[in-house]
Amino acid sequence: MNVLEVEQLRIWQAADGQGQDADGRALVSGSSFAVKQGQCVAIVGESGSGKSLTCKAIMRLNGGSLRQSGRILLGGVDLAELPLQEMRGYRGKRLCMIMQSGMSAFDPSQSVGAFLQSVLQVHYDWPRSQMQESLAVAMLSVGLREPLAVLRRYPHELSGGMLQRLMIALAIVLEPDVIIADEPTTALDAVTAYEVVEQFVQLRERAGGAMIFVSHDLGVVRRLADEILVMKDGEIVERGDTQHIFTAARHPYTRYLVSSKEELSRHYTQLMGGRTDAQG
Amino acid sequence: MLKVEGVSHSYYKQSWLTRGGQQVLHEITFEWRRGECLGIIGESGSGKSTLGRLLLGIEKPDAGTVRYDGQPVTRRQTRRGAISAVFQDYRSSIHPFYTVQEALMEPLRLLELEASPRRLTELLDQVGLTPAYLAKYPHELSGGEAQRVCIARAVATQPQCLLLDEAISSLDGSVQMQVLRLLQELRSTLDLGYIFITHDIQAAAYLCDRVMIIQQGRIVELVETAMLPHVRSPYARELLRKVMG
Amino acid sequence: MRLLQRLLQDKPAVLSLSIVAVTMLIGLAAPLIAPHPPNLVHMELRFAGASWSYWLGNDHLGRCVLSRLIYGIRPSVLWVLVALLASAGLGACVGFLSGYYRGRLDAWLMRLCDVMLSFPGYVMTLAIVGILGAGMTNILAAFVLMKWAWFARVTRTAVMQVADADYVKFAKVTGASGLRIMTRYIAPVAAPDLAVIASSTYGSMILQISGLSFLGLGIQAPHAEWGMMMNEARSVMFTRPELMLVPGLAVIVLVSAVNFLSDSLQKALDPKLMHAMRSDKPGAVLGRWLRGRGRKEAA
Repeated sequence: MNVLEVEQLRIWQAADGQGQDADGRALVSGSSFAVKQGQCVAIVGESGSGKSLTCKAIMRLNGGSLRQSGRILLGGVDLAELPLQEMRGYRGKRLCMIMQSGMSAFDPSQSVGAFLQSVLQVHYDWPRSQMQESLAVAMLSVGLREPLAVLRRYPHELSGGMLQRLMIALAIVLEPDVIIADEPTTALDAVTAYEVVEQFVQLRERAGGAMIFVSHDLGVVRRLADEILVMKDGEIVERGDTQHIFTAARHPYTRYLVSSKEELSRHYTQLMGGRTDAQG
Repeated sequence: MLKVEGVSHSYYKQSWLTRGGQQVLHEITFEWRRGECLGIIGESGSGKSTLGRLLLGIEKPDAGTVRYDGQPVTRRQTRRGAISAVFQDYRSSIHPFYTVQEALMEPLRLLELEASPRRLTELLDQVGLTPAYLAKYPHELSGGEAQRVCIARAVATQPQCLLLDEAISSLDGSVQMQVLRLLQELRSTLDLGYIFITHDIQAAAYLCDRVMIIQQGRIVELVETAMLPHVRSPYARELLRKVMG
Repeated sequence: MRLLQRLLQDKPAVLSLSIVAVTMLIGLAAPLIAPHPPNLVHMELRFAGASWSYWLGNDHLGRCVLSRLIYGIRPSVLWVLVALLASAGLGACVGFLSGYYRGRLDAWLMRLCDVMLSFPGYVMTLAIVGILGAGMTNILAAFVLMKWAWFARVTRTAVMQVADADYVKFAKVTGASGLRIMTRYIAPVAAPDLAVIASSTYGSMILQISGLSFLGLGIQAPHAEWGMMMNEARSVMFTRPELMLVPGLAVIVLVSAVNFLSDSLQKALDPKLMHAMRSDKPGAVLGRWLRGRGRKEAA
């Protein structure tokens, strides 16, 4: 069952606000894909490929001079046609986004607890104690010990990894239909990224919703994704399930990406005598 | 040869009235020999960036010494040209108002070395860029190109030791590989040695002869890369395990 | 220079720049341009209206208003410029040292600035003039004394933003001296901020000098100065309004021009557009900037 369907998504930059293409070229040209219940679709690509723009377009967060066209169907409703007021109701409850930089996702002038509660208040009518409890439970499950103490902290007092876990905890409480993760591990060091990806694996298993995971790091994607879309210069150049992409990719760009990653990890695996978690 | 002995360092609180700080490095002692590639691996907050700054001599350690060929590294004369660096943020590594040409000429002019167009083209060629890049501004370059320019600039003074502080961490996956290969090439063509500070064990294992693992300001392991599978300390074993291929 | 080109594209900027430049030139060349000596008294011509030899008429002592206006440029505009440059220069030096070297030096200098800034400007100027006595030099000294702290703060902030950048680190590693780093790398980035602040302060300084002279604390008679001319015309404000209007308008026009120029300068020196200035086609710039942002978010 398709939870989210994107049809012919096109994003371009309007010059002079006239709706005309600036260079005659779109930033994202006619992407179509779908995410099923319980599935994780990864969008892989390097800088400038349009993967972040695609995520933001689904959430309709692309502002300024960016325009988009195409249908975005969530449970049958076309998000692209919704008035902004209704769209806001969808964000968080139905579509939850986990961003790259924990620091910019949180309000720096509030404690993280106050901020998370204000987000929950938008969608739920729960009393404060219930909110705190569900948050605490979620936080324990993502490996944040002493949740109440952490909730009292301010964003700048917490590390990047902890902020990411908080966002995942929020996603657990909100129970959205689709979780969109936009390069959540890119700004983290290798060990923290590993642990956060573990959390995502668990999140996938328990939430049962759908997930879109964007990254340029193939190692991360390999652990997590069922299906992979490879984007280059605004186009989806290849798609397939994880196994296929890593072993029998067709497009030269995909093979290039995979071989770059393989070279590094093969060297490491050989060094360690084949005794690593590399294949996940 | 770079000799680090008993280096300890703390961060002091900003206020000028109170003295109280957080100790970031504890009694760090090791050596870097000419021509070798030494990796320094640590998580965020392990103190590796601070160690990088101390090795470059732009900060003075609270305790202990860092000496290059016997002279303290904090003296500009000691470093001049012999030690160079490439940093993580390629966007802020080149002055935004300077072209690539001007950026490359800066260290050459400073040390009164040859700065002719021929030399600049040679430098760019070594990192795989055409002379057309000379006229470009930093914001016109992609991540990989900008980092290559930074590498070209760093090797312009023909240093013996090149310190790479998370130099590939901000790059995309395949570009990281390109730059790693470039670094390997340069090592043999220019007879360079590296100190490679990173959080990425796979990259360090790929490039380095010897590897040092830091945890919370202390050296946990210091071994030849080939000996990595046999380290004993639990922290190091955890670190080696938590790798995503 | 591209900056000049950019500035010249902006019509109000061109007008303002011309007004200010022409005024300054006239002031510098006052002896050559003014039709009559400014202090020459002709009692028989008291309050005479405009005539062919006296284009703007004569004041209460029969002196030529036009000539006084022209000579008045010197204290009102040129000397103020000198005070501005001295103040900004001193402030900038302090700001550079403070922002670059940090530590104890920064702490002490900033406490000193805080002390200077905690005094209300006008009141302190009046107090200083009260202590030292009236007169142009004393007022200008008071200005420099009051304003340098603000320039120091602004410069320090600009310097601090840049001093942590990796290109400064690289220069340090390669062995560049502090002075070299400050002049080659930091000054070009801090200069726009300083220029904008200085140009907007210029307008207010001119107004203050005229105001203080109007109160009788500025330049002393018989020298010409716009504020003082207005003061002298107070008694005949309703019978001979032109004697007050002429210097008043001069002040308004000049200060407005300075303020417009300051705004245009700020737009022209906007860092985002600085990159644009140095590249090729304007349309491609925006696209590149957006893509650059996108790249940062992805990496």
